Parts: sequence; structure tokens; C-alpha cells
Amino acid sequence: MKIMKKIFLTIASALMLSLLSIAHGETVHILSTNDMHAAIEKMPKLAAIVDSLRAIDPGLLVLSAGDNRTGNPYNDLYEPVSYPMISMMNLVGFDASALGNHEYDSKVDGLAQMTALSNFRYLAANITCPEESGIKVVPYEVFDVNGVRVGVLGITQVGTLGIPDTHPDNVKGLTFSLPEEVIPQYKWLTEQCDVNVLLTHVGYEVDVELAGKFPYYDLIVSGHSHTQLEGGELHNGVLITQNGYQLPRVALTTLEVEGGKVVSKHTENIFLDKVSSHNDAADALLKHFKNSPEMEREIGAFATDITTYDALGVMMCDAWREELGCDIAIENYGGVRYDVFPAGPITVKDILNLDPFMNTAVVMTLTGKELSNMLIACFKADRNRFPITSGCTAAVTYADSSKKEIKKLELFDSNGKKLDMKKKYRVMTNNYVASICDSPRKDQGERGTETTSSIIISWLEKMGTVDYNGRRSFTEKW
Amino acid sequence: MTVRVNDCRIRIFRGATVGDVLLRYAVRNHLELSAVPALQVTDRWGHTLDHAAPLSDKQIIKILNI
Repeated sequence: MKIMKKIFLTIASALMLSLLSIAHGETVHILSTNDMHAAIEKMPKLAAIVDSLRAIDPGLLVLSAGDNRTGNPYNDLYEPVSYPMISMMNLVGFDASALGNHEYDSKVDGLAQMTALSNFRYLAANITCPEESGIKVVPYEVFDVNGVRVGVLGITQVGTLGIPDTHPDNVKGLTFSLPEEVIPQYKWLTEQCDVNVLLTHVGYEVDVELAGKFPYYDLIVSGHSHTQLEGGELHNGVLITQNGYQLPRVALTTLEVEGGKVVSKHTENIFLDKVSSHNDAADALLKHFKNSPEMEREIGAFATDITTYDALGVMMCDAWREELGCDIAIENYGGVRYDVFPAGPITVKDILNLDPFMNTAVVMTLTGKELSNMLIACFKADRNRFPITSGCTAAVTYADSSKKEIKKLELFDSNGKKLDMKKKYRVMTNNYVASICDSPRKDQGERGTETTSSIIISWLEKMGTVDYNGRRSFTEKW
Repeated sequence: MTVRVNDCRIRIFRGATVGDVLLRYAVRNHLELSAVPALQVTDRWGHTLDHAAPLSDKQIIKILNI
């Protein structure tokens, strides 16, 4: 409590001092976050910080640089999607948010729903949404802060494919422009405002470039790259803030304005782990969402008892292969976290415990030979355990009974026919397996945004009752 | 895409995070995979990056505690 008091006394003193300077000009305070990634557990602390600061300066602006969602099943599996995080942000009193690449993870309909539920504006000048999409986003917002005009222009991330880093299906019908092409179109706005802020989700490196090209901005509230800055960094006279991932710190920026111009500016970071007070209403909301009945929802059932890792692994691989329309799916043996599961209902929580790593799918095109090499690489990296597959089976011959070296590997398709080593197959695995399998292959694939656990949940909802007891995808001999 | 980790060039799937690249680095350099979560990483300017941080082609990162 003493530490907490000290932190707030320090912040309060800074704010009071800056407010006293009104005799010479005006002061604007901006509290900014980035890449919160559904850290709903941290929101009661954030709400307490904002409450304290707004008690001193009611004009405090609270901005998010995007990626508010994705990273916590209590948020990401909720219906309506991401409602826990949005309701927390509403309670905190956010004024605006950029659109991060993960804001598109539930496709256009999901984003439209999220923007409709939010009490704050989403800002992105480089996106064009058709009216019928229902997405509520504007290029900029002008805030009146203690009589000072603060213009905030939003910029969303655009990757090498000309869309944000998400699956192309997630942004169907939306068009994007490069930040450096769009920002000059809003120079007129900067001439009408006293303080000019870019609220971006493009990553630190791009923000440094933007600061070099557009020095007429006072501040860039930056996100995407999860870069931990020590307060604000000045680049070409533009202050840049960004604070890691899932709210380790928040940035409090103070801008002194005289004669319609910013005459001084600085940022200090507030460490959330040093804050002990909570907002009671946010605490109650958190408790409500953590007791979500969604976790106990029955999504399918096992017809018979499951008694091996292999059986559950084959089920996971079947789910991934069928849901993503691939020929073959691979899971490392160590990635299956249960070996026993009783016959009866399967809940959402069961699948999150079975596949708890928040992994996402990686889809690649491999020849039969490349696939064989990848399976052997997986065996070596996963402590000499052969991976589980769907869409093909394997006959593994070890050098000896220690099973530490594979002497011969034969792969068969679902009809029992040997896999063609030259033919190309669409192969799905998770990012962990794709990372640890350091084998030669032309296509390294692409990592998607949907978690492998949510893919299994979607599949089970369609399948209903399944029976996997006794299923294996490979035989072993030496 | 290709990412440079210390003196090692790593070709990996698009959309890889810092954590993904560290796993590939660990396998290639015969490090225990269980040691990966404790690795501390910075960008080329020395800013700390967490393991969920997204990476882009040709990005350079450094492992501090190795």
C-alpha cells in the first residue's frame, strides 16, 4: 500500500505541477496502452490508475494502439466475441483505439460486432470499409482537452500482402493503403489542431520511419512489435511510446501547449505490477467473466473411454486436417496433454486443457520426401518420440530397442498405399512443431491466427459424438 | 521469411513470433527446448521484446543470456 501511495503521489505531484503551469499555457495528459491482447486480469488495476489520474485531470485522454484482443480464451471464446475486453475498456473509459491486426481475427462480422459494442472510437485512416460491413471506424478524432484541440489520426498495420497480418478471409471486402501514402492527406488536420498524435499499430521500426517523414506530429502512440521502451523515445522530434505485451506498463505522456504549439513533452511509464489498488466494478466484471459458463459448455462426447495419448492425438490431428481442408496433419507426441478421458461429454475447458499452449496452425505444402524429413526431425526434437498424424500412417523401424534412432520410415495414405515421395501434400501442424522441425523444405508455410484448440472445438461441435479409443497413427519395430 | 538471431540466419514460416524463432534457434544449436522460455531477447536497438512479439522478414534480434 505504501508503494502504491508513493506511485500515485509521484504521478499526482507531476500532474499538479503541470496543471499549475496553466498560467503560461495548457497541459494535455495522455495515458496509452498497446497490445493488451485480452489481458482482462490486468484491467482492474488499469481502471484504478485511470480513476486516480482523472480525479486530478478530468481531461486525461486514454488511447490504445490496438490488438486489444486475442491471447486469452476467456475473452476470445466468449460470445459476443471479445466482449469481456471491450466491456472492461468501456469501464476504464478509453477514448479511442487503433485497429491492430488481431482486431480482424473474427472476420468482418466479428469486427463489426466489436465496434458496435465499444463506447470508444476505432481510428484508422488507411482502411476502407464498405457501408454494409457494419464496421464503425473513422480516420481521426479531434478531442477538446481543457480547451486544447488534440487531433488523433489512426493507422492500421499493412503487411507485405497489402493487408494486415491475418488470414485474407478475415479482411475480405476491406481495402488498405500504406501509412506513408495516407498520412500526408491529413496534413490539413495537423494545421487545425494544437496537439497532433498518430495512434498506430504498425510496429516500432515503421514508427521510427514515420517520425522521420512526418515531423509535424508531436507523439506516436505505437503498437504491434511488443517493443518495451523506457518511457518515450524522441525520433526527429517526435515522441514515440510503446510498452511490450499484455500491459506490463502503461505510458503517461505530458504535453505542454503554448500559443497552439507543443513546447515540451515527456513520457513516464507506470508499472502495473507495482500498483496494488483495483477498481471494484472492474474486479466484479472480471470475476463474472472468469466464471463464464462458456468454459463448461458441452461441445461433443466420447463414445468410449480414451486410454492413450495416441488416441487423443489422432483426434486432434483429424480435427485440424478436416477443419483446414488439408491432406495431412501432424502433432508432436509431447503436445498431447491427456492420456485418459472417460466416455461422456467433452467441454470447452476439456479441450483447452488438452491443447493448452495457445498454439496456432501453420499450413505448408510439402513433397512426400519433405514430409518424411519433417517427421524424423520432429522425432529428434521431441525427445525421440514419433509424432502423431492424420491423413497418413507411418511404419517406423528403429536401429535398436533403445528407439533413439530411426533406421527406416515408411508412410502410407489412408488406403494403405505408400505415399508418393515426389507428390505435393497440403500439410498442417502447429507453430511449435513447425518451429522445432528444422528439416529441409522449400515451403516453410504460414502461421494463422486461430488457435489449434479453437479449431478442435469447432470440429467437435460438428462431429457430436466421436470414438477414438485404440486409434494409433504409427507402428514401431526394431 | 528469414530472421537473424545473433550470428545465425533462420528461415522460418511467415507469421513467426520471437518464441517460434527461438525454438528453431535452440534446435539448430542443440540447446534444451526447456531453456527457451528463459531467453531474454532484444531488437537491434536493444529494446526488450517478449516471446509473443511478431517478426517480419529480415528482422534482427539478439539473445542476451546465452
